[in-house]
Amino acid sequence: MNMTKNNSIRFIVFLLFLIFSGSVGAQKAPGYQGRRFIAMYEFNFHPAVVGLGDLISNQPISGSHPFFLMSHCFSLEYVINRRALLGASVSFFKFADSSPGSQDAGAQNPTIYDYNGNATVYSLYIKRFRQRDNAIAPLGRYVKPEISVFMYSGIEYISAGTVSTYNPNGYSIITPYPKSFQGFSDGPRVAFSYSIGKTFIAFNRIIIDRGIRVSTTNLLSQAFHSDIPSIYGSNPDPAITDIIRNQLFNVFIGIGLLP
Amino acid sequence: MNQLRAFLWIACYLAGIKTIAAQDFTKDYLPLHSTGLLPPVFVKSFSQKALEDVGKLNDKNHYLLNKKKEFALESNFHIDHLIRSGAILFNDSISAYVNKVLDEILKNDPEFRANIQLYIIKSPTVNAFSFDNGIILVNTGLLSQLDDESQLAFILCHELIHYKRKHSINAYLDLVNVSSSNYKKSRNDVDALNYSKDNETEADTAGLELFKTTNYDFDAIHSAFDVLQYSYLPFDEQEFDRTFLEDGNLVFPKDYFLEKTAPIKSDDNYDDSKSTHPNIRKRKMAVNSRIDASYVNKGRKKFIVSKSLFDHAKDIARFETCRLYLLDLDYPNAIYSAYILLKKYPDNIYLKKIISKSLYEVASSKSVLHGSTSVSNVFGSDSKYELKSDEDIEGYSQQVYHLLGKLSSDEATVLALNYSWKLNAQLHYADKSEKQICDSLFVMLVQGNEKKLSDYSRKTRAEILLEDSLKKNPVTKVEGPALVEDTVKHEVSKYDKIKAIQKKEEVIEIKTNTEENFTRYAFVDLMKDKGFENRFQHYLDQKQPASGSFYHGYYGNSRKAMKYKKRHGQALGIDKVVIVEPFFYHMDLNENQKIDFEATVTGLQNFQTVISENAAKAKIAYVSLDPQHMTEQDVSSYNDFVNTNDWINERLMHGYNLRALVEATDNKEAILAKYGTSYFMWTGVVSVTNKGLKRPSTFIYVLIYDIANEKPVYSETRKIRMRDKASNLNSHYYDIFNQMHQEPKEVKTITRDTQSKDSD
Repeated sequence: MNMTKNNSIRFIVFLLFLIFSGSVGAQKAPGYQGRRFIAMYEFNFHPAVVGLGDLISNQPISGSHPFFLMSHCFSLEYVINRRALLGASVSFFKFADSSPGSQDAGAQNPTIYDYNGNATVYSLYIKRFRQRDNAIAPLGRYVKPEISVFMYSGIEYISAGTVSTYNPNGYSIITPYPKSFQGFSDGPRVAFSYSIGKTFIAFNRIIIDRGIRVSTTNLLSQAFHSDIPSIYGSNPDPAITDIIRNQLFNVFIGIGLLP
Repeated sequence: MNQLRAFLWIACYLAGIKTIAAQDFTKDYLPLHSTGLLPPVFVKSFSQKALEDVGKLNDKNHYLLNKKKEFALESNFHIDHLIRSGAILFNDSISAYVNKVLDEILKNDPEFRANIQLYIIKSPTVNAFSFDNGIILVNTGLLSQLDDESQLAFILCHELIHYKRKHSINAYLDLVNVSSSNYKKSRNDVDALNYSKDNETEADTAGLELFKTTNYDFDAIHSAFDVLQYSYLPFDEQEFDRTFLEDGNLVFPKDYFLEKTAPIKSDDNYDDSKSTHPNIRKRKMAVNSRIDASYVNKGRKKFIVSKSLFDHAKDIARFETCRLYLLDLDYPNAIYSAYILLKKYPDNIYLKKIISKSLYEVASSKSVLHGSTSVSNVFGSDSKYELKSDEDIEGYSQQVYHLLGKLSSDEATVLALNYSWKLNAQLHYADKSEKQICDSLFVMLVQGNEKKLSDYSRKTRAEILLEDSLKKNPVTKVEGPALVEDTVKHEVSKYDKIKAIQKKEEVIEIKTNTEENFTRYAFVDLMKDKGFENRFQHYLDQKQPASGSFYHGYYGNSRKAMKYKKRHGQALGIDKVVIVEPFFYHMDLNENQKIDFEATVTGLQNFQTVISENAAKAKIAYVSLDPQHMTEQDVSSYNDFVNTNDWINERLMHGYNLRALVEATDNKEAILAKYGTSYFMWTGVVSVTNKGLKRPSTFIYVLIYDIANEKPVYSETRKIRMRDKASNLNSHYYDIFNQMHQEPKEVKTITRDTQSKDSD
């Protein structure tokens, strides 16, 4: 499956259509007052829990770092029984990073690279609501095992205006780095995630979701660890490792609609 | 409109008087119920009443005003709670009479009288109390123990002074010590108790002055204190005749019956340091010190309103006390009280039924079949009922406690069956509850005690003795008890008389022996009734392993079933339910005041919306039996509410014993027919917030009973770690209603008959 951005939009529209058409005829228990479908948007923060310290200590430079990754996720959920719901989501990863090009310039005279990554990830998950808390789907505390498929990557590897040279007196931005590529395709790749979270409801229609997720980290590894370095003939960039590590944890907050 | 209301009130009052005349205690008794229009205090919500009271408050001192508001809220909350318990009666025959006595006391002060609302409360305890808003409640237990009308008048005078001097609110304010110097300094418990004692003494002494203005007998002043002193005893002291439960063949062993009971040791000078009232001696002395020569009893009367009405009201109160003992599972007292009343009304069926039910429940509690159920008891006690020991009981009622305590399971069942079957026969086998009792006793005897027909003799012990004697000496004519009597009556020789007397003594000796299996001869008379033998045989033929419970879960208890239940809940197939008085409490444990009254009022309103909204969404039709939503004309619904509450309270007091029969069963058919469903639901929410807790907790209680089959169908307590917001409650109540609405799986199964019909 090779899906472009246009296809993604079509996919979302299709999901929304499913939500509204399905919910009209399926207002039956279980679910919140019989509403079983939920259209959800989630915003994900990926805090840099490791790697940044190394980057700074080795390379005493300022500038942007892979401190936050952000992703946006749209999902459709369906309550299958009073304790569980089934969900399908599409996530869009966007990230930017600056990092020293240690291989090109050396420790004394590094080059700073910028990466702008876009990735589309499709996931299927089940939210199981905790019986111990007497949570009835879709409200309350839950755990969410998730299987994700990294279908397509649109990773841009650009260097616009970010090449700098280090000298003992400080930094000097010199020229844009000449190499710039985009559109690395990594092919299908599978990852597993596990989340814990809690949902609330407002105005009998709006669902607020929040939680924390832990994932296996191989979604972007192929592109950053092998494809890009192979083009440049370099080893994997330490900053790229950070990006990958950042996937390990994320916190998310979502807002959903009960049609 | 006001004229119409006045007319209706008069009609209700007359109906109350008529009810007094209508009760014929010689045959039966109809439990008390309210009539006429619901008084305003019953139909107004707690918040309405509280707002009205708060509106009347006026104080320049801001702190004091706030405290008064707090008191108004709390006081109204408790009154509301009491009213909604269903224990308070209005326009009934006793209320009508007691109100007349109150009219007599206050005949010179009609303005004061207009502020007083007097009601009767169904409770066996001896008590009366007044509230700050003019409501005075008199317990039926008090009325059952009075000797005359003047005692009642003196007690009413005492309560009137409590109201007049605003003792309730003053005691409340005293607790926070509202002095100008330090508002927040709280009084300690001892100070509070002393303050309460001062109020009581004031109510006694000032009540005496009020009593003096009436024409009632002064002797009541002292005798009323005697009533209070001995209030812990049953309403009369009469020796319990052992032959009451015996017959010629069922004779208790000697040690089953106490010949000498514990003496009555009541001391009027008891330690009152931890009591809200001074002890009786102090109260008597305080009153005595005010009685001087001016207290001339001449011309004063023990009865002014009516002696016959007093006696009738007292009898009703005593009947109610018997009933209440039964509802409170106090079976020895129920039997003893009914026994005393039966002396006055020996043919009263109601009293006999009370004894029958009490004996049944005692037998049931001793049976190995004492039920257990997988349904947890969300409102009631889980503990198994046990008879109270007779050690601490004083007076003749100790004999009943002792006898019931001595009986083994087998003996208790035999005694109960013996009594109940005779009553069943007296009622021509047409009484449903007695039939049910007998059937259940047969089950207990056959399954629990593994008894057979052959375990019981068809001949009396004397007849067997005669047969044995004949075998030994076939020439000699040996006589049984009846023959002995005949022999004595007819002209016989001196020696025959001596032999007959010796035989009689022998029979008496046999009758009172201490042989263990004294139950062997218990059914000699009953065996002559073919119906009894057939019924016994019927249960022997049907003998199955004891199930221990009438309840069978819809999905069973297999692992697969439990998993299914966890995911999908239950499927009860209920279309319509009666929801009885949904409750909501918001507990704020951060404050001294544990119930947050304002949050409770708001929460209750939201909760009612939650119920109606979610029942509709889950397609459950429901009827609400809630006094707060009743109008003045809904007295019939109010009585239904009281009856169903009595029913469930008694049911829950039985804990896990699902074999227990509920007294309030008698009128259930009419209620079920009226509401078109046999499913009754009791539900409520208790929300708790506390700074010490990490998260607020909300508890949801649900209990659904199939009253027709006396079967709990749904029982659950949910603790949710969320606030009591409507959305959270929506989620749970929709889930509950949905489980009620879903058809059980079994129903969906297509049978062969259905298929063939379809193909036709």
